[in-house]
This record gives sequence, structure tokens and C-alpha cells, in this order.
Amino acid sequence: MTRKEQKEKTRAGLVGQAETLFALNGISSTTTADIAKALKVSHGTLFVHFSTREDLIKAVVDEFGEKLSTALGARCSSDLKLRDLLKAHLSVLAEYEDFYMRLVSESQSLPPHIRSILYSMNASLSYRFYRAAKAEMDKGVIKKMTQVHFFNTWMGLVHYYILNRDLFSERTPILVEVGEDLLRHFFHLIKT
Amino acid sequence: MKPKCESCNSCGMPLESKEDFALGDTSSVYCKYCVDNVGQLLPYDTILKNNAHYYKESQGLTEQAATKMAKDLLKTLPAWKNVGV
Repeated sequence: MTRKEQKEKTRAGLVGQAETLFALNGISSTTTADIAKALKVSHGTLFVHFSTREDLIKAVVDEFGEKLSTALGARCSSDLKLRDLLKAHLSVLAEYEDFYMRLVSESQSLPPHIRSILYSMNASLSYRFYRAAKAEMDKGVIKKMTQVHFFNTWMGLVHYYILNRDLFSERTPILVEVGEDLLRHFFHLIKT
Repeated sequence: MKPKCESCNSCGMPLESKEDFALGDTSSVYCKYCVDNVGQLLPYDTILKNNAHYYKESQGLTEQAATKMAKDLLKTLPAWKNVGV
């Protein structure tokens, strides 16, 4: 393995380990020392790759955002139908559910620029979903509503189940358990 | 593996297709919304206002919350590091 490959491997390992510990113990409660120790690298090594703790949190959030963007059709097809987009959204959230639950539940105490990235990602989702929804509104298939109401209704439903997932299922990811049902219910609410 | 999506150095918007780039130029580091008609980066205040609008229109944030969020986002992007802080 070349030095460059080793460096990339360590960086990826740190991002993966950070995501695991953030998911397990919470973002605010996890220190850089915890992450380095779990990966069996020195604390100093972590700072060779990430100059601050926030940079490491950002790398985890960016990886999640990249996955979301790819699943929702970036670079390949931007004309996915609404149902396919929402399904793809649930699928990525299910994959990252442990981490995403922390991200949402700790949103108000996250470093401000991390929070701004999270809501910027949501803004992209909102535009993408609404563009697909608007096409169906224009055809009279679903009810006409504002972008804010449309997006916040969907997110409200999904987040409620994620944040209270221990109450709704004994298994996780909750979105694998109830995702189909939520999707069906959401379409029942919005159809004309 | 798909190539990692580039993003605008000014507002962070993903640059997913040729049309997203400033003047359709894929070598640009900016998106089409952050430049004028000759490809010059728009002033910070304009980008801040546009970005705050993006938060407001998509999720219904208040003017104050949207502006703060836009400021927090822009200060991490290469074009605006150490500007507007």
C-alpha cells in the first residue's frame, strides 16, 4: 500500500469510526480522543486528517449528504417520480438511521455551520421533492399546497417516527419496519 | 463508483450537470446563481440574501433564522472564508 493509499484508508477509517460513535453515543458526547482510541490511532493522527473536531463532523455529514444526493438522482436522472424520490429518501435515512437520529435530535446544539449544512441539504431535498410534486399537482393527481407545507409535512412524519422509534418497533431501522406504511399514508393524505 | 459531486465554492450548491456551472463552464468553481452575466462572482451581500431566501422558500424559516443560517454556511465556503463574520 502506498503512503497516499494508507492516508486515505486512515481518513476513511476515522470518518467511519466517527459515524459509528456519533450514532452510538451522540455527536455532542463523542470526543476526538474516543474516535482515535476506537480506531487504535494516536490522537495526533486524527488531527493530521482533520484540523478540528467540527471538520470531522462535517466529513461524516458530507458523506451522508453525498449518499442522499446520489440516491435521489444527482448526476444520472433528475426526473424521478415523487414516489421514487420519497422511497429513495427513506432508504438512505434507514441506512444512516442511527446517525441521522442523533443529527436531528441534537440539531440545536450542533456547531452552527454543521446545522447550516444539514438545513441546506434539506433545502435541496425540498426543491427536488417539490419539483416532482408540482408536476403531479398540475395534473390534479395530488392536492395543491405550498413547498413549505409539502416538505415540512413529509419531514414531520418521518422525523416523528425516527425520534420516537423505540416506541414504535423493537427493531431498527424503524424506517425499514414502517417506511412502506408511511409512504402509503402520506400519499393518502396528499392525493386529490 | 460515481464521481464525487462538486459543489459551488460560493454557496455550496451541488454542481450536478453542465447547466449548474457558471455560464455552463464545467471548469468554473461557481454555480450559475453566484455569478453575473460575464462570470464574475456576485457580491457577498447578494449571495447572502439569495442563500437566506433558499432556506426560507424551502422550509419556511424566519428571515432572521434564514440569514443566520446563510451566514454560518457561507463562512465555511472557500469564496467567503473570513468574510462577513
